[in-house]
Amino acid sequence: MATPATETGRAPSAPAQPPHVAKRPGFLDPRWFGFYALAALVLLFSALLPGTYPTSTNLTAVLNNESVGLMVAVALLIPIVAGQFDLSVASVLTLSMIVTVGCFQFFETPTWIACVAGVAVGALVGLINGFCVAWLRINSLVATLATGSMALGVALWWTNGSIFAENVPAGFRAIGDRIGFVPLPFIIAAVVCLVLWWILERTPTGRYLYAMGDSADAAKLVGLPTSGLTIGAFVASGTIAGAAGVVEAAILGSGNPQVGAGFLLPGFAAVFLGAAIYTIGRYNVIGTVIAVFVLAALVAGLQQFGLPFYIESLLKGAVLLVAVAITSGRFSR
Amino acid sequence: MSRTVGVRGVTKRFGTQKALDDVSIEFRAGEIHGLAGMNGSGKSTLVKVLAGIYTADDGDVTVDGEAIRPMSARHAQELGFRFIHQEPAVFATQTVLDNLALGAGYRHSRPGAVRVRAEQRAATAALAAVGVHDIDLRAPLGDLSPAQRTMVTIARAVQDLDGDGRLGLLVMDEPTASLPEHEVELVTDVVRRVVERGIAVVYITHDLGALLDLSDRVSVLRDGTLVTTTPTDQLGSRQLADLMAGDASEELARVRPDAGDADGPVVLRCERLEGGRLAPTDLSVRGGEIVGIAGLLGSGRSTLLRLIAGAQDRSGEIDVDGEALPAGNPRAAIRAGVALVPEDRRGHAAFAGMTTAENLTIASLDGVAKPWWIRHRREARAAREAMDEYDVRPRIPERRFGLLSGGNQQKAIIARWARTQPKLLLLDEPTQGVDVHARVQIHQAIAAMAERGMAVVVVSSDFGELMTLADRVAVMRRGRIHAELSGDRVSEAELLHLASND
Repeated sequence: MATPATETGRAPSAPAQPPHVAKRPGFLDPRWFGFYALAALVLLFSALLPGTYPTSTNLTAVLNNESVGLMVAVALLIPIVAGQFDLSVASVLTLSMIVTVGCFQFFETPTWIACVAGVAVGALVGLINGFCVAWLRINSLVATLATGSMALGVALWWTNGSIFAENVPAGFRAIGDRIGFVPLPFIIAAVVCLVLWWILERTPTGRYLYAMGDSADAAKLVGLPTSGLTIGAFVASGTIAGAAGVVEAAILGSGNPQVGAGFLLPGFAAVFLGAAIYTIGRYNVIGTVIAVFVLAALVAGLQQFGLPFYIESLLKGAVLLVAVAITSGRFSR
Repeated sequence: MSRTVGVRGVTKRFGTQKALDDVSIEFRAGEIHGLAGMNGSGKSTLVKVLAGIYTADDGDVTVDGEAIRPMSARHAQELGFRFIHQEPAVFATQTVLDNLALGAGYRHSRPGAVRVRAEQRAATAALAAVGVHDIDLRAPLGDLSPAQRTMVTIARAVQDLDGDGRLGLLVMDEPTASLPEHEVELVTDVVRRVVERGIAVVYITHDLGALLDLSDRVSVLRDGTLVTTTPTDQLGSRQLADLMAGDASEELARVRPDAGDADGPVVLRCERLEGGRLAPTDLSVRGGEIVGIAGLLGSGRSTLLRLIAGAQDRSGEIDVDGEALPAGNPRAAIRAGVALVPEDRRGHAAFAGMTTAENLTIASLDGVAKPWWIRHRREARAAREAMDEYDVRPRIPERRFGLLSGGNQQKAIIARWARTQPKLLLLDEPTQGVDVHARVQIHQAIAAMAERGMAVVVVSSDFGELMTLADRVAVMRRGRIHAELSGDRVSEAELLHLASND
């Protein structure tokens, strides 16, 4: 049955197959559904609320509100791609706010030093997370829950539970301003997303992170530096969460240890919804970004209809459940 | 009470292939019945018919000559059929007591409260009934030795088989394969005690010596048909091997009939390589040579490959092309030119959620990417070339890898490593779960790589495969290479005989 091998090892009996040409995804490809949903929501609410919804004021408000949420969501995304969870991002955001404003209040540092300090503290927590997961081999859920609690503890310790708001220079508050009707925080978030999209989709590092998330054992056996990649993913996550804290501090003009916790669940909802509406089953930057705005458009519209404030929590929790059922639960493919 | 369980005229088809063809066997109470056969001979299909997992297309499972209809997994359980697999389902962090009581449904307790005393008495009795007296009921099962764990599993399986007068059938599939040598006897003693209690035991193992030693009668399956059922006192290991292999072995054509003695440079040299299941072992392989490793489950055949590839910690020296490899470092091994196609394709090789192209290039992205930029077009071209050369179908580079058939996945994994141009290719069960056509293609791909000067080591539990593929075969047993064959001396029956006898 076996014939002597040809020199190329090519199978002798394989009939020629026409070369496959990659097709561009058509209009009905599921990957566009997220865009359609966003467009449909905006059109629907614009038709129902023509006076208040499709206005530049509303757009500016939404962009401003969501910029920090967007950064938190993509911060969560990186470890998730690599198969890990980072529950500490919300507390890191809080700590970074406190550190940044604390620099002004107690040391009257220049703006750039305060900003760098805020981002650096995020990177440091990320490094600790990476060390706990890659070297101590602690389950990432547990490790980041613990480090997050400690980060929040430090923030509460320094502030004693109060709000830092003194000596905040106008130059720092300008980070929370807008250029035309586009808020500067949104531009920062957009740049972060763009860089991250490039890293995850266009570089070997991103490819390796996805491989690790797919099968950690196989990743190790194809020679990927899995420990380094894990640490890198957590450092990136912490750094972005730190930057989000700096931006939030600039928007608020103060450091409030109560702000932060509310960002965690919406971030998760966006990441999982993103994997449910774009390149299905694969966590990705574009989907996450669309998901953030789908949720924002929905919440803004519903609230203008007079639905109470708690609708946001209910809605995002429900979205998280549905999205996970689609991406990795019963309805996954 | 001596009743007999059996199968009568059982035929099971999968598509057009008959996995079992008119098989009739009687398993008598108080008898250990050995089941022997090569891979794919129908042993596991027969077990699944007994367990009620498969329904026979023709024929029946019988008790005392009466057909059980319909047959289902629940019927099998109620009839007192018990099954123990290679990796028994146990709760390692729970105590011995809880493992035994769970298996019996805590029937000495009330719904509201576990009655510890009563459960302890029952557990002690269950262990004593199979001749085990020295196991601490309070110890977590994970803290016991592998043999003790197996003993508890056996006691758990048969604990409810007397008392209410139910007859029993205990089917054991390679129960001692994962045990260290000196513990095997402990488990076989327990099996003998089970039989003394009037339970019929079906014992499956590739280890022919152990099979002949333990069982009273043995049934030999080959290609789905029953060759013979015969008392073991008239049978030698050599004869049994011949019965299992049949004369099919002569039909197997060598993939590389004209390959002479390898005269390439020595690519792999292992000295006193040791780790996991492997006792200190020396091995050297030349470029252009295909070395087969024959061995039973648990012989250390996979461990050998994993140690060389750095997937597992080790001691001893490994040189690849004159370069010493550090221990337990797959990355360093790959850089030195080692490639491993692992046994567990799904868990250790495939990235099921990624595309076929991504799976093909993952180990060799340097060729198509800079650190900050994957050249997608170049990558797609490389993937297409690899898919053409190794006939990976469908030829859609962006197809999700998990959607490919097993054979195509395996061809892609081999292509993945071929792209790295390794000096040493290690393959563990390269054609397991692969269709016939893909099997031929994989063999030819392996042969072609050897032609190009690669050193190749193939592990396979399918000894026929080793005969068609390998230039020489090393036979492993109990963590050592204990024979080497080449040329005409390599026959399936001979390999089987050597692999299962000291």
